[in-house]
Amino acid sequence: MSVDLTRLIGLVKSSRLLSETERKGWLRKMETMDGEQLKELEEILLKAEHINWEEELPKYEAALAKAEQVIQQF
Amino acid sequence: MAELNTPPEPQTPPESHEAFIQRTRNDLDALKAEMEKVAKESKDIEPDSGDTAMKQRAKELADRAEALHRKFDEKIEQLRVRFPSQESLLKATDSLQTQIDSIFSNTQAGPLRSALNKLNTKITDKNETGTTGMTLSERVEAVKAALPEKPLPQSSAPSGEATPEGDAEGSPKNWKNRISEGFQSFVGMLKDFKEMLQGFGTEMLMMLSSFAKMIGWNDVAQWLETLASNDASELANALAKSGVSMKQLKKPSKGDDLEKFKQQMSTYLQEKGKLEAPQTALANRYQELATSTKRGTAYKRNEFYKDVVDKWKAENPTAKECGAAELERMAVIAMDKTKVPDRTAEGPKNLPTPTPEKPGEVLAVVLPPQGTNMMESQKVKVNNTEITFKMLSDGLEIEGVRKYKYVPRSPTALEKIALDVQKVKPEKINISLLEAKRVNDGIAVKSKAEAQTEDGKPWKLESEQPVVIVSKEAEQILLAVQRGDGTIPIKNDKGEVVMNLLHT
Repeated sequence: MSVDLTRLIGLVKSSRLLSETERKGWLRKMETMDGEQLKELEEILLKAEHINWEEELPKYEAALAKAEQVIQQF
Repeated sequence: MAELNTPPEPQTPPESHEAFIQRTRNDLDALKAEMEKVAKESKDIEPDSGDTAMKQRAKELADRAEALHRKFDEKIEQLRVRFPSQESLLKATDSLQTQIDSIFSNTQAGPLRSALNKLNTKITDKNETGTTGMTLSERVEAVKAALPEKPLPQSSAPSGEATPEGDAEGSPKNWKNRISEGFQSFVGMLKDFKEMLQGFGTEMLMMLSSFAKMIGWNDVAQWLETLASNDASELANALAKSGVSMKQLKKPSKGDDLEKFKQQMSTYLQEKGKLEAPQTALANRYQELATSTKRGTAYKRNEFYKDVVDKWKAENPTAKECGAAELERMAVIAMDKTKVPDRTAEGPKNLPTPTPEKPGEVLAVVLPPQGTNMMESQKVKVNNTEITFKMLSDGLEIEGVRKYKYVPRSPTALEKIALDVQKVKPEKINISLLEAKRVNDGIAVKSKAEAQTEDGKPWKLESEQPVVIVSKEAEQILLAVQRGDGTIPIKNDKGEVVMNLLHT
């Protein structure tokens, strides 16, 4: 159940899932997160490491544009 | 005769102030090192250096996703205003959430970002219950700053007594002020109550509690310990027991707003400082009065109170009133300080004699050290067993086959017992067992002694606190109580029943 902090910090610093602001935010939050939360964050970021970004980017961009539109019109 | 006591186990000597402070500092250092580890590792690690166009694009998308999330939150907030009822609000937000989820359903990053947002919300919600705005490292530093760098002088004992004052670095006053400031800033830090109770927060509370004990703030220590146990009802009980009954403190009951209570506690800590001066003045006043009036130890407690209170009030017309309990405590301290060896040497001739003839009359107020024999032992025989009554300064000891000690609530009650015992007809004594339970070193027994005085009046004495009995028969008594036996025979060394404990 213990989390490898070094690896998790590396994941937060390099994950393509996160914006730069979010990256800084998570590094700061990590200092006060408990073990369970750190584990959850690690699991999410590990899954993101397996994303094939070449295929993902067009899909994600399209979905994002649509979502932005929905939010704007709501 | 049965063996009464097992030899006492060797006790470790109490930790010195110097050792305590050193240990506390070491603990805090270790905690801080743990917290700094995360920060250090985050500096040492560099993200992937290969920066491709695709990576850049992913970053941009992540920025847009973050902005989208913020926008989503704003919309939800707008919905809260637009939909007054919870039902309609949930319907609207669910609808929006469903649309967004549906849009991202064919992506891999969408659900993961959604999971990240949920985790973020969970953490944010927790922090919003009362964020301190400080990281754990900062908190450790703040508390560490309150610790003295040099050991406290041994003379500044935690007795609440007046200490030599001075402003020089390292003087008792200086230490006390620094510690006091540290505590007050700590109380301010306690906004995030729930978080402080998790993980090392509890340890810190316990450490601070030990620290509070060291400087004599026993009520604060008890409060901190209870705070660490996270139970509002216990908190209220602890306050009640510690005598923290300042008017500005309202005891919380279960479910009450602890935040409000903590603010009150903070106020209390500040007020406590203001009250120290009159308390010391009270202690000094007694010494002065006892000496100047030459009434010595025959100076009655109620007279003393009246004199002290009247004079103290006259001298402190604008000061906060010193509560009765506090007055009592200070008076006892003051009296202990007053050493007048002979109660008759200096007193006027018309003062009560040490052994009053009228039952119930109050004896002199000065109490000798605990355990001192207050009168000649009374020996009686019950069923061939000799029972000795000893009136000690802190209770009544009855020793027959085994030893009992009754500790009354106040010295006045003790004095009353002393008089009563002299009148008791020993052959009529019945000792009943009220309660017995197993404790670490034997059994704790609550019992009752009933007798008749020489003039035929009933006399009863109940132990207010359990007495621990360590003997070969402890187990036997406990088993008998558990079985519900009405009578528990107590035998002497020859195996003869010398007394029956009646289980009532």
